[in-house]
Amino acid sequence: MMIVFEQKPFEEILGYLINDKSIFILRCKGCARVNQANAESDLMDMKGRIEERGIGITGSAIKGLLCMKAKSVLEELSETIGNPTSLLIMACGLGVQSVAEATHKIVHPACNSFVDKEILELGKREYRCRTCGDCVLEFTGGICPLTVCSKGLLNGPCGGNSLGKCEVSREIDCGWVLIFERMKKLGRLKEFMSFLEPKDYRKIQKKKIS
Amino acid sequence: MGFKEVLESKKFVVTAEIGPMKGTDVQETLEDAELIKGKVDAINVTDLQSSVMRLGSMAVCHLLKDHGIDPIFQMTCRDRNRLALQSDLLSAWVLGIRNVLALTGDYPTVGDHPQAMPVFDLDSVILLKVISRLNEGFDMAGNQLKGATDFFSGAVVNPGADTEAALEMQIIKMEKKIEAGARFFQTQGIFDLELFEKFMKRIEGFKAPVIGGVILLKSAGMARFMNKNVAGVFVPEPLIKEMEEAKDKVKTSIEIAARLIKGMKDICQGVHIMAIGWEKKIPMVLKEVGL
Ligand code: SF4
Ligand code: SF4
Repeated sequence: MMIVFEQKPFEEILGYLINDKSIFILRCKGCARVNQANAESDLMDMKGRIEERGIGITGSAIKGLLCMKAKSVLEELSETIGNPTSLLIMACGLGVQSVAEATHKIVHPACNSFVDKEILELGKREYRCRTCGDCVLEFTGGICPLTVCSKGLLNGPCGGNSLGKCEVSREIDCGWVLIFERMKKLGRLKEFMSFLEPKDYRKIQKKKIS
Repeated sequence: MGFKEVLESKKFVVTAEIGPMKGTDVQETLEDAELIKGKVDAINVTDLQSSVMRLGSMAVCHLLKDHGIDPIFQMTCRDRNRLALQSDLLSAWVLGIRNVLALTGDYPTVGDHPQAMPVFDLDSVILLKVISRLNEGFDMAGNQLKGATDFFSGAVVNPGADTEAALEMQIIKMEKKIEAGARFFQTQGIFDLELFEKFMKRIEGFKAPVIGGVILLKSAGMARFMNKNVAGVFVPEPLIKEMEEAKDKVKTSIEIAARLIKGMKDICQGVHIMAIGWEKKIPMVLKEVGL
């Protein structure tokens, strides 16, 4: 998952804590994507500012991979956690959700999650494969139109490309130009001309649907 | 005669374009339309052009119809998923709209609500197929309609694509669009007739007529702006100079547009005039051409 997180404005966090007498703070040490160097100082800073406002802190901890290990982390901490009215989680949206799943206590998020910033700026091209359930790479030279084109177009480029760059940002290549050039080089323009059917979004849906 | 009949009779058609207002005051739009009524065969109504929120294309098309003008309903894939697109097509048909122009649509970030969710559930080729399907009396899912549509559908093509790869793709996509049901094409604004003629040679034999786009230049600055920012539009330096040196900009603008239109008469099957705020000047352009 290419998720990064950044701390919410402090006043917003404080608003969440309005009914809390005491809290426990859990900071994700992170994964490969998260800046681990700041974990300690971020946590110290947060503790200081919260105490300043008269809210008690029963304890705090820094633990890695909260998104996957929340349950065991909470078990491990059961002795030290005390009896806070809530938990404040400094982690990405995945981390907060797993902690919430593993406890009956109120869980407050301290951070906003983003797709990796660089990628976000590169025209919202989240992931290279959206696991669409009906792969079309055969017709597109092994380059996924769903992710490499900013609009996820299936049947060729929009009119917005200019000098090979995308309408959404002139910093990034037009995905359809990449596909075309690859297919042309491969001598597969006939396949390039194929009509691609609309996607079945039940298979791509981000939310779980039953 | 409606737009479709004029095109099918192989006459040279003239279409114009209107961008609805931001708000509910339609007076000026209708005045402009009234002024060009009878002089053009149809008027395109844009669909939240440049991703700027405004009055919808369908409502304005309906008003034009009431005023005795044949509208071309522009429909992009930017804001609606397949349910809404199909439903809006049925609604448009019921409101008397007979022509649709299928487009991809600009990305939301270019407009005034850059926070909006980009939809692009379908693309322009698929949308054309969907229209063909509705014309046959079925929706996308294969369900039978009680009462079909019979739209005359068209699409856009950009002969001014600025690289050979982009141009080749335009042509390939044009073929796909014809196969999907496009029966006419309108182009992006053209300023270089020689390039346009070359393009038309390359697509000789394609089964759908092409209507060449003409943008009214308002100033040299506007030309330079378009060259820099509008994909597929390129105003050659001599024309920019002509505008720069013009004493009467309106007169020169009309002369340039008239020249382009006269040139197009031998190249393609009509012109599409994009006045971009100068709608009131369209009759003067047509008078200059003798149309
Ligand atoms: S078409 Fe793209 S999103 Fe779908 S399976 Fe293939 S790579 Fe993944
Ligand atoms: S310019 Fe190219 S990559 Fe960007 S949206 Fe259009 S087709 Fe997709």
